[in-house]
Amino acid sequence: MADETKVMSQTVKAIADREGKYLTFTLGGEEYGIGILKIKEIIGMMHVTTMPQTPDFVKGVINLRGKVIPVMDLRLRFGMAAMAYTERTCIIVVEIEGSSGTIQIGIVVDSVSEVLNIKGDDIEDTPAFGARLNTDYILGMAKMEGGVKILLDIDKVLTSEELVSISQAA
Amino acid sequence: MAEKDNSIGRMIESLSLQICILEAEDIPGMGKVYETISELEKSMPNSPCIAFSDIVQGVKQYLDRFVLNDVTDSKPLGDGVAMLQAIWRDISSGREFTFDVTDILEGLGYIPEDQKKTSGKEINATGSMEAHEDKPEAARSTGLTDEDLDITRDFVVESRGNLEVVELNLIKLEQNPDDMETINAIFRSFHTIKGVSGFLKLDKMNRFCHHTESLMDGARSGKLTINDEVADLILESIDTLKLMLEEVEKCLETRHTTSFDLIDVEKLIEKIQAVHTSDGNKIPLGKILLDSDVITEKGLRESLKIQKKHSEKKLGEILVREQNVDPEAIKSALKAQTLGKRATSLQVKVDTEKLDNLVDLTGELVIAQSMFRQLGQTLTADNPIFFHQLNQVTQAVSAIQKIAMSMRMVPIKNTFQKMFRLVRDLAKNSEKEADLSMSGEDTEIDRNVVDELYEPMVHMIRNSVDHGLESPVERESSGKNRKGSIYLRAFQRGGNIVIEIEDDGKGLDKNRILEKAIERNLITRGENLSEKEIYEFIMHPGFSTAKEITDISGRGVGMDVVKKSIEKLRGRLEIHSREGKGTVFTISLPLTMAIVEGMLVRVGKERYIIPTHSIIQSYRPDRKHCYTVENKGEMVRHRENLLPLVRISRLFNVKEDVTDPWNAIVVVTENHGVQKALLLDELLGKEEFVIKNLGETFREIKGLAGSAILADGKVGLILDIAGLFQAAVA
Repeated sequence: MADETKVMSQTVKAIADREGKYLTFTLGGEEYGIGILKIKEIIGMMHVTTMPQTPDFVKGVINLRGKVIPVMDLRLRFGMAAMAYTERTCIIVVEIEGSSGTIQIGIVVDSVSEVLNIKGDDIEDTPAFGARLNTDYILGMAKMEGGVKILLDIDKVLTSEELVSISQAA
Repeated sequence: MAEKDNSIGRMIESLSLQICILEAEDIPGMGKVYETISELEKSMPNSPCIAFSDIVQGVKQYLDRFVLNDVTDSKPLGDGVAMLQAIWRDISSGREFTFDVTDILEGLGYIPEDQKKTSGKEINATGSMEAHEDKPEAARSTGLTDEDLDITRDFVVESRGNLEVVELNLIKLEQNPDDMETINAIFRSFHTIKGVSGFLKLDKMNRFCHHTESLMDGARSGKLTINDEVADLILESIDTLKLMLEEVEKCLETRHTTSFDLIDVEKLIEKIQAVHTSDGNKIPLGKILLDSDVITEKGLRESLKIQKKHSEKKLGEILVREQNVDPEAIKSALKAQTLGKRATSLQVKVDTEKLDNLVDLTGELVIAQSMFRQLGQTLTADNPIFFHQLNQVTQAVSAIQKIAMSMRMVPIKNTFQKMFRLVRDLAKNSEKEADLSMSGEDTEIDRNVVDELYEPMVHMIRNSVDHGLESPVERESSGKNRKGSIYLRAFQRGGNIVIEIEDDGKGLDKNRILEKAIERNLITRGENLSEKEIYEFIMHPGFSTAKEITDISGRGVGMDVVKKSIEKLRGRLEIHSREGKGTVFTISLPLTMAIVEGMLVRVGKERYIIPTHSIIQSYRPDRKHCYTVENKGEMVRHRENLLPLVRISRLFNVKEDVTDPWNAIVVVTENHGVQKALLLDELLGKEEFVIKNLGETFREIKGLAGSAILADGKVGLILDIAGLFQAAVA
């Protein structure tokens, strides 16, 4: 009994943790969301200088008002087919935890949709898809009227270790 | 009894000395410590105080673990013994010892017998002190409220600043012992510390400051002259006060108040009082006049006699009346006394991040403004008012950019002035006499460089004093001034800041360096080397010509580190020396770390920046001068040399426009004596670029030193030639 309550309270806590405002965007016909507190700004597509010796999802670097920040293509990061950039293509600038303080990284998405207030009750845990789909960086699935939004743990999507290790292999 | 007491005191004394020099794996040293502590334990079967025996036990146990290499930090031992000293001092002077030793015991990892019984709870409580620092903790301390805490914290910071000022002023004073302004400044600093420490109930500190303050008061009223001895005392006082401040800072964390039991001020106070009561030996004005041949020694002596009788009269007055000295001469002598005053401008401390942001944004402003101009040309082809307005904006923007860049620059003065104390202490330790003079302290240098420069400079100054300068006796026998001179110069030459460290010592011994180099198989006998090449050897790792190792220098770790850190700053280190005359170390550094002069080049659609300092030449090679090896490796002839050809396009995986070297451009670059030819499509021009860090994401990428925002607002990558060469052979 006691154990059950403990499990319950843990679940409640997890729900409360995930509840909040999310910026949603589309990517290859799917809807994704990132916690609003992680987001610094949204900018239109601009010239990207390619970086050598990096995996293909690392598009390169941009000049964000005098600061040079890296840009990733989220489509390529998730192994989806590349798509020509359109007027609706956006760069979402997020702040993630680096090994020494926060770092800003831009992510390229098909288009930005809206900011949603998602309740904890509407969020379900990610089902296991087996080895072919790594779900470590998915916080959960939000069931909304318009469909399901995949909530991302952006820190895990863009760990710099991964970028570095891949760049060494390349 | 007294004799026994003495022997215990001596034992503690020698214990502290032994621990001071103790290093991990120094087994004989540990043996000695162990012997002493056991003896100490035996010699006092019924210990006078529980804390004392607890610490003795603690030290002993810790030592056991130390011997077994369980622990390697000898600091807890030192702390323990220092505490023993403090306790012993209190006991032997009949005072009752009341100080919390739990911290010390904790450091030693020792749990006293009686506490073991009472339970682990209490230890737990002290262990998790920081986790919840509320009621019980506050109750135990003597009530440091949040407000007190803030005030105390401010006090520590301010006092540190004050002490730094005193240190600088003191050095000024040594050259000009009668400068009232400086004496007053020192007095004020001590006075402030005394006042606030009294207010904060740091009694021991307050009392100590009171003594130093009255010492300065003596100097202020002219009873005391600041000579070497007094200066030493004041410096010692500063060090003691710094220790006390450290103690206060430590106590801030735990909200305890401190009584500075570990810091002995009594001896120093005694010394201060001794100096204070001794006769002042002031010879100021007379000496100045005498030195400048205004008066004769006889005349001065007579005037001084008169002054003794009429003590209210000033020497100047008497001299004018009795010796017919020109009042103007007295005036100028008095002026000379008070030289060295200069108004300092008001300053504000700004977070460097804000400065960097300002520089970034100003760069953007410049780009935006130039784009605006282009746009204006297409839209309003000839509207004079528009361009007039735009010109004004341009002017303002470029002024802002200049200011933003200059804010990163600081005068090298502070770093230079720290060297005064260093030279003074070093000379004292090695029983030499040395004078440091400097010029160009106002030369401005990039903030980041200043910090990086401090340690190499300290090292070189050490070298100069320890190896360069001879002992006073040696100097005299070779016809030099007893006192060695060290010069520190800073100036701007071309696009570089040059810093010179010169000594008039014995110079480098070429033959000795050669011998050492042969001994270490760096060269073979009979090789013909230029002077410069020979001196380069002293920057070789582990190279030392010192006959014996002193604690200051001579272990052979040094010049190579200096060289490396200067190269890291994109600078150069050169050595010039003349045997018997002295040595000059010349450091040349780029004006700022933030800007690199580079060649903008194009490969396909991408643009890269090659730093000009690594470019030898660029040219379009003849077809007949391009060779291939096994149809893979490519080479190109540059004058008499065959250089490997590195295709940037292949290395960075970009599409190049021109594949044949004889239609493209080859840039010959050099890194550490190795030359390679880089193949690229086009040279776009030489410019200065503001360097932007690529951040941790791309730290591992070889061949890139950073990035820069180009004139069109896009990002260009700065090539790192060393990394590029490595990547090319990988």
